[in-house]
Amino acid sequence: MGKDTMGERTDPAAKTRREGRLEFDLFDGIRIGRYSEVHAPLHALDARVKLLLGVLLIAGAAASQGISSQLLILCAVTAGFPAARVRLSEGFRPLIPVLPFVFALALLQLFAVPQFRADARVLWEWGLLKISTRGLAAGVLLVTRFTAIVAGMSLLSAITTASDLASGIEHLLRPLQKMGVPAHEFSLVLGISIRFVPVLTEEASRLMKAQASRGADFGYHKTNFVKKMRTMLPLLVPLFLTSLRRAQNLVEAMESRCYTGGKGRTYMRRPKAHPADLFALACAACVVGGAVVLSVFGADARMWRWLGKVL
Amino acid sequence: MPVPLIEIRDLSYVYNRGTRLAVCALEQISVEVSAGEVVGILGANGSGKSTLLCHMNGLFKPQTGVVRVDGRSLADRSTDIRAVRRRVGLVFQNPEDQVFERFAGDDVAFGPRSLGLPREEVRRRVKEAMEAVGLPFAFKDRLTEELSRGQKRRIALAGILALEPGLLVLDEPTANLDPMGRRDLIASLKGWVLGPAPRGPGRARERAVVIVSHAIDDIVELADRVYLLAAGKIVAEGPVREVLARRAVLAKNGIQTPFCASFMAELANRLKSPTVDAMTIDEAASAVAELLKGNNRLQHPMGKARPSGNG
Amino acid sequence: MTTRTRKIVIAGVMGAVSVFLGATHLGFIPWIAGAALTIMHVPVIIGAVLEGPLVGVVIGLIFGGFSFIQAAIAPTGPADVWFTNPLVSIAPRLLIGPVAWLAYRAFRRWFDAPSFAIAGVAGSLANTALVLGVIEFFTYVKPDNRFTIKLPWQAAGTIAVTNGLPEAVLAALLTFAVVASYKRVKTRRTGSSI
Repeated sequence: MGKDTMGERTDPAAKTRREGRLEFDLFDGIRIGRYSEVHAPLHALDARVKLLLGVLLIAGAAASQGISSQLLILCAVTAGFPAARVRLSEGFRPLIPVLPFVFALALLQLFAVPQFRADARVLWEWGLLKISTRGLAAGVLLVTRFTAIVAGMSLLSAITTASDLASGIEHLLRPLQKMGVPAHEFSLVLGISIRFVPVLTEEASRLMKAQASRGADFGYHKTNFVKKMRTMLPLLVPLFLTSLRRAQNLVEAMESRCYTGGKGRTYMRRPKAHPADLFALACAACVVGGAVVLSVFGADARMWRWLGKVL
Repeated sequence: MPVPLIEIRDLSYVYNRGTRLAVCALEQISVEVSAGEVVGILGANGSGKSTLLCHMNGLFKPQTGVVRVDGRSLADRSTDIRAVRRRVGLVFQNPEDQVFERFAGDDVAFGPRSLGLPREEVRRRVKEAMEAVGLPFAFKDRLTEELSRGQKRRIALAGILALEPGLLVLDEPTANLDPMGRRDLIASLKGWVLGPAPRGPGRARERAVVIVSHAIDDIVELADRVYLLAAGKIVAEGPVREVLARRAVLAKNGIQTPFCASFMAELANRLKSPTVDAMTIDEAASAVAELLKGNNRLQHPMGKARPSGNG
Repeated sequence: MTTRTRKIVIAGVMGAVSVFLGATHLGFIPWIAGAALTIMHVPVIIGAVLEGPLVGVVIGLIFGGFSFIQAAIAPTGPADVWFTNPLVSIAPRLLIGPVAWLAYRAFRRWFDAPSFAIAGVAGSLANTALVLGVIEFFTYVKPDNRFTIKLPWQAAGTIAVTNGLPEAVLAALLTFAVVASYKRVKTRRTGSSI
């Protein structure tokens, strides 16, 4: 099994340039997210709590409308980074590649938002282009919400391992089992997936080398669509076929170990909630609650009015 | 003095060079293979075999040292790497995994077709390649998924032979094969090195084979010369029998002596008679047959008895 | 052999393939204007054709979930801004499997092997249409821009044609190649083409 971590997608070109290799073996660094090996207070949280924090984050950012709410969430996340011993520069790193797009979209917001509301004041006009307060608000909202979510997920992935993910989901879904939802089966599926990805990485690396050695050309300079497809097939088809073959082997292995489904299965390790977990949950709930409150009570409207008076 | 088919001088390779995870896979490796030879590279798992293999057709660029095919350095910008990969046919372990076409013939034809050869030429090459691996041309219409592992492997090998390489490099060619499959494969390889029919006495001067393996029996049966690879370094080289007789060196580097050699040595010990230099089953069988005929002294099948002792 | 265990394992393995394709450049085939064609949805289609619509839903869930996580953790392109909304990244993907399976079953009566390709086309178009549809629907219905920004109809239409159609062709090809090989199906071609 590969590394039991979640990490980020590496930039293949830079890696190969550093190592002097040709275009293969760029799968070595495949990870999803950025788990850091350091052990900090937040790493010790129960797996289920980590997942719940993620859910709260998304729900909070999605549900709240105002910029102030997003900023509140963002502040909470930023405060969380030291608790996970992650440097702020590392934590906010995932944002960098997308910032140009986000700002471009925000700019679009500025001009595109229709002016339905009566309290929308036009700030600036030039021919057909109008920037209104609503447009400005929408643009800033987009940027802050996106930042809050990405920073939050970055923090979470720093403290969550792949095992945590699999086990967290399994135990969270367990109560649903009684209601007939096949939670156990689903978390087994997830577990298999997570453990299989490193295998695929290695397999694909070997396949690329083997096919290149026998005449397949993987250069992307081919402009012909047909040619491009023909170069992908020797890589993709065997990948799928060996995956299916391994699936077959796994089924046989499971059955020869008397696997007959989820009924009555016991666990070797049962997760227990500690006070720290409840504390973390409570904090997150407060933050999200605060964000919603701010949104509902129109803190944003007040803020804009104040800004309007000042400017 | 003709230029060797492949020449590797002082090759070194470090994975993740310059980082905390740096691992030295190869150190100052020098290997040379000339036309007409069958060379073995004997190494246990983790000795750097795979890394060395990938340097032979330009999949990896050497970090230090030089790799020359037909006298041209692979690091040279003017060298056409695709031409190198046609000249040096690299067959990875379990090559049957790379078969992707539905029909066997198409898979063998993949290489020549990628070269853009005319249809008749492709057909000729596929026919010759399939015959070289011992499959009738009619096999081309079989579904690849219906073939046995051994047959699939031969199809994969044929796919490389169809590119008409001068040097064939094989990684663990007999891994996972049953004894009959192994026997057929070894016979095919021996036949291939001799060159196309009509075959004169001795080997054709144009082809060479490199076998990279930890299976000492394969190397004994096929190779003339052998390099012993351990922990990224060449620790011994020379004619097969000479190197494999150095039991102490083999033992130190985790290589088992060939079964026959140990058997004969033990037999000689028990009978208090000189050891016979028998590396293959056939030689051992003849020697033991001689013994049973009444000669209490072990005779070398060629007529020379040698004193027992460790190499 | 229990079909239940088999379904679980195929779902897991194909889910892994989808994640793998999404996390490396293999899942994206370069196309014009810097955009890329994705094949991340093909494991969903193959899983559905081989094991049924429910397996397709599960693999779709993994595909969508990963797409969402990737957009949130390591965003790489403009699409990721929309994909942070689970309604855009996850919900439409749940239907790829069932649609592909239905297409496969419907056409199996008349053709044998080509139905794999048709399933590929159907699944791929479903992915394109549903994702773009959700993005459009979302922004259209909420004029005060709740979550995303407006993607003009023209842009969505262009994407659907320039990306969606070639992706459908790719998916058809790949699905056919894999499933026909795996199931050792006899087609009109009875032998190698040399």
